[in-house]
Amino acid sequence: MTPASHGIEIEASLLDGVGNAGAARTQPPFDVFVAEHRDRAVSLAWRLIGGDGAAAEDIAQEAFLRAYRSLHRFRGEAKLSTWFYRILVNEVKRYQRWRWVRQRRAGESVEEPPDPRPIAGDPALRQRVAGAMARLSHGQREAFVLVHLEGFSVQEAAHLTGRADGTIKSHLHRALRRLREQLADLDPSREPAP
Amino acid sequence: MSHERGDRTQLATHEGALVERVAELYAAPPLSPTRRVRFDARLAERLGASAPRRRLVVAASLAAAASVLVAVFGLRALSPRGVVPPPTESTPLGVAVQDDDAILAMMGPIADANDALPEDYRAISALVIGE
Repeated sequence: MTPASHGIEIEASLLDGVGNAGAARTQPPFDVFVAEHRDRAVSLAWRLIGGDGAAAEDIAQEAFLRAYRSLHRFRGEAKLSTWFYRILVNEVKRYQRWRWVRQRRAGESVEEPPDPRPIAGDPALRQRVAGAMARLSHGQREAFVLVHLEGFSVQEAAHLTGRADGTIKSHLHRALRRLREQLADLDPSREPAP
Repeated sequence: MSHERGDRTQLATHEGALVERVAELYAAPPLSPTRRVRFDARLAERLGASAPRRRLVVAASLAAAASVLVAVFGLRALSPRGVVPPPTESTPLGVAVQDDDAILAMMGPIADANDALPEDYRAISALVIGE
């Protein structure tokens, strides 16, 4: 995406945290913001929906598009990136609702996690971890992904999800406990079984 | 909002290690350069399509607002309250004939036709007609 491809520029005042400090005063184009957050947006969406690459890219696309169309509503109360990730989290929720309805209509089981498999090479291990993540509740997975995997603070995660700080902490605690139960053998401090 | 600002540091050592393993194993495959380019191209196309549509919506809204204003003011101009009747018979001051009649009626009945004339008119009338 070149600046000439769509000629989109957003005001410097909206660009808190976008690009480097010097460039922020010269109205960098929206594509600078996209380039800076694209990979992380896709990665975050992938982790929140449970590992569907194409859907994660679609969600990230939709979030960027929605953010661009709503730029005039951005009041600068939060960083532009925080505002954008909130849109992304909402897009993930929309997608999950749509998927849930589609699965119900099709008579499929809703979010059936894959069966845990014994550790046998990397792909199987990944699948096992994905299964453990899928067994978490929506709230637990959301909190765990945002805080522990994506590095947002509890306050930021609360803002992104529209939940209270205490709720996020509670979800984190429960998520970690459940993951420890299911993936205890991944704990490096644990003594190997004889 | 950096990656390092999460609250992973608050975890106990063994929990931190487990979280590290989960983070490593539960991660999206990195976007390849080809996919990145395709992603950007598709987004640019959608953003480009979005801008004229938004301009069109703004223009349509303005046109609709203008139509409403024209309709409202047009109706007000054509309403009976706004119509001024043509001054058919009016005094130099613009008082209508019916207004004169109303004032004369308030003055009461005139006993003699001569009473309606001013005094100098009556004097001239007496000289000419001899009354």
